[in-house]
Amino acid sequence: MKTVWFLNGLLIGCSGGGSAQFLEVEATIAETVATVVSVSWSLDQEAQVWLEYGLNGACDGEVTNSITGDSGETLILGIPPVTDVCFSAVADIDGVDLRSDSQTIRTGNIPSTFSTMTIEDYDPNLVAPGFIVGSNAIDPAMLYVVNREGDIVWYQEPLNEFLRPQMIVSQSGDSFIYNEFSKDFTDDSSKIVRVGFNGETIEEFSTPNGHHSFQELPDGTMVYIAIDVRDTDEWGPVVGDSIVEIPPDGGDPVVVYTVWDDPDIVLESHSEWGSTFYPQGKDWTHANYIYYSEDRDSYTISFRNINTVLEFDRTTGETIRSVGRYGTHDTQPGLVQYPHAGYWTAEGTLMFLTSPPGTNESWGVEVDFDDENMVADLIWSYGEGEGHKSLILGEALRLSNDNTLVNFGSTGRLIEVTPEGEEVWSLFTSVGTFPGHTTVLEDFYGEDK
Amino acid sequence: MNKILAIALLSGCGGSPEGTAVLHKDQSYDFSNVVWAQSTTITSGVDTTINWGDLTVDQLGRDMSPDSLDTVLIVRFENLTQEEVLQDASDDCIQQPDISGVVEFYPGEGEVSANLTDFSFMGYEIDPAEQILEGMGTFLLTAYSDDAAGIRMMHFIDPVQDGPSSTVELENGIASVDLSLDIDSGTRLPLDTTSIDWATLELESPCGIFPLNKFDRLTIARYDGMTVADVEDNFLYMDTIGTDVWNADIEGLSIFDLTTMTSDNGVPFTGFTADTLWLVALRCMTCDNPAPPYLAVVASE
Repeated sequence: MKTVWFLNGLLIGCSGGGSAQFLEVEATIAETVATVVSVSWSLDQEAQVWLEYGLNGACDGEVTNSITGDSGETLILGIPPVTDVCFSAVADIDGVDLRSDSQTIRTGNIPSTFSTMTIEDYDPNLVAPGFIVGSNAIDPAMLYVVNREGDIVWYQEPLNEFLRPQMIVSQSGDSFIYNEFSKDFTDDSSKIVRVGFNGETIEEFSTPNGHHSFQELPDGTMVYIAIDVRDTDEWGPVVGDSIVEIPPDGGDPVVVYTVWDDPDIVLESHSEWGSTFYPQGKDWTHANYIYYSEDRDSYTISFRNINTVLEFDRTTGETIRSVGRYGTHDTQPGLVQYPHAGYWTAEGTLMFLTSPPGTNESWGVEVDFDDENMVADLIWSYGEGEGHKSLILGEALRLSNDNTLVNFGSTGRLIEVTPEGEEVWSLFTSVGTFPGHTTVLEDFYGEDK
Repeated sequence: MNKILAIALLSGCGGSPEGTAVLHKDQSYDFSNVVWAQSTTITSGVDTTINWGDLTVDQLGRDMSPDSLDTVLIVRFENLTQEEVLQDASDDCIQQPDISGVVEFYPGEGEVSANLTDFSFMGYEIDPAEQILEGMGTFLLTAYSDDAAGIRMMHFIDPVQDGPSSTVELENGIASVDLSLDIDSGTRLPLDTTSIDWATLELESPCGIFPLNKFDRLTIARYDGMTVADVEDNFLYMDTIGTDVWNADIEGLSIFDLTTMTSDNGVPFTGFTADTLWLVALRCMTCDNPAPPYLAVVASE
């Protein structure tokens, strides 16, 4: 605990609420996240209680979620480092607000190894609401939530020894989940970790041979990509990929797909055949992203090295549709080149990042499928002529306001663009690191305010 | 955080507690540096040896052992010239979007050379025939030691079609950092300072405000019988020439009680005195530039 202020009930002036009073309101900085303020409070009776707070001189304007009881702990979230937060606890006593005296606490600073996030082209009126949740994958691996001003408002201590390429918001909306695995793949330390907004680890899952990407399904199932290494007569050990589910009860992992059993994908050499990315063998398929669609009850995998994005039925395991080298649907030549992070929009279009040959660029693209004519047409893209070439990772996320957040992976740059391709926000990392996968958290408190 | 300071904030009485100096840019010294590095022309697309067996003085003029290098990088800048890279390096403003690729080599025990083909990144090994070619941009070689802040040596390699088949020698004198500084140019810190608060410190640089989280060490140094000029002449050794030096890990902080510090000689810090020279520095031990981003003289006599 870095900072403790304690006031007992005798010291707390209150207004409203008749004879009811707060007995205690105590603020601390969270042990492992110096930007999170934890306020514990107690009342002399049960009530619905929340915090009102403001920054840099203001004491209101923002509201946390509420808790009903005679004591509780409420987090103030989304605060930049080294920021004075003024707050008061508010209790609903029979329709009258009982308000504690205001207190001010300063958030701590983030670790010195944390990347500086530089913001350009920011138009607050045109960006989608919310924070960017993600990580810098490597050197060091940093998990973070960053606001649109480039302030890190939530983080975990950076690590040099591991890759942490993805962090998502849990289905419950009150925690984050991230993956972690060996930096050079020489040992299998892969796991998925759920961590509370207060920075405390809630649970961990071992994910044997896991790498790159995972998802949490609505029922609590965890699904992740695992390398699937098999000996071959022609090539010796070859590294393919499988998709593995961990049941909600934490039972044994179940392989629901392996590229080795996919009749449409051929074991053959390719341009990346000499890569030693995986010391276990030839880097055949190099899956980099798994996406689950609840509406479609399907998984979609992006395979970098075989230039294919593939959707298969979760129940039957059979391919539904795919594009690229082993695609079921035809598309324009070169459109699916080193694809990353394929996923389906609410409109049923497929988005991913691609690096078309001959362009020395990466593009975020949106593809529309015509299952009758078995073609997939490019209907939107961003990146052509921009000169951003991602060698590692990347994605294109459709946002709630129809903008798109294009993550140019190893270039260190995220760019939000309007449907017309106008840049309305961009972020780049400091030298030596770059974003992994990202997602957007619109509000730490959800709708429960 | 110091408890007294926290309570003062809590009380909402305004201002800073007695003895607290709020740090601002006007107190800090004038500092600039110019980075210069040579270039070696090599044959485009051909494997080449890089040798640092004779490297005994780094680009800051500090003695070193060739086998103390822990990391050697080759960084490609597709759209920057050598001159532009040096300017950005001088400003400490090289940024990730400037970089088109990085490959690494980690020397083993006693290893003082490597071939281009020994470099890799995340398992992707370098192929000079595809990745070290004329016209692909500017290639910068940088070398680091874990036990010393900053780059130990930098050098450009310039692949040219039909260029010479030469070894790249990382050796003494092929790069330098020329420092220009005036330690006493800022407003001096009050002599009665017993704590400092840098939450609102905004030090400008050509690439924006210096990030607060990069301040990870506080140094107080006392220089008995020495002048400001004496310290300036030995600036990179400001720790070792001090009569007494107090260091504190300030990572994650923005305010610090100086009276909690104990010097390397075991002497508690009890306050500044008027009879000698005192410096206060906020430092960045993870930055390429070892010069403190903030340094101020205390208003002693």
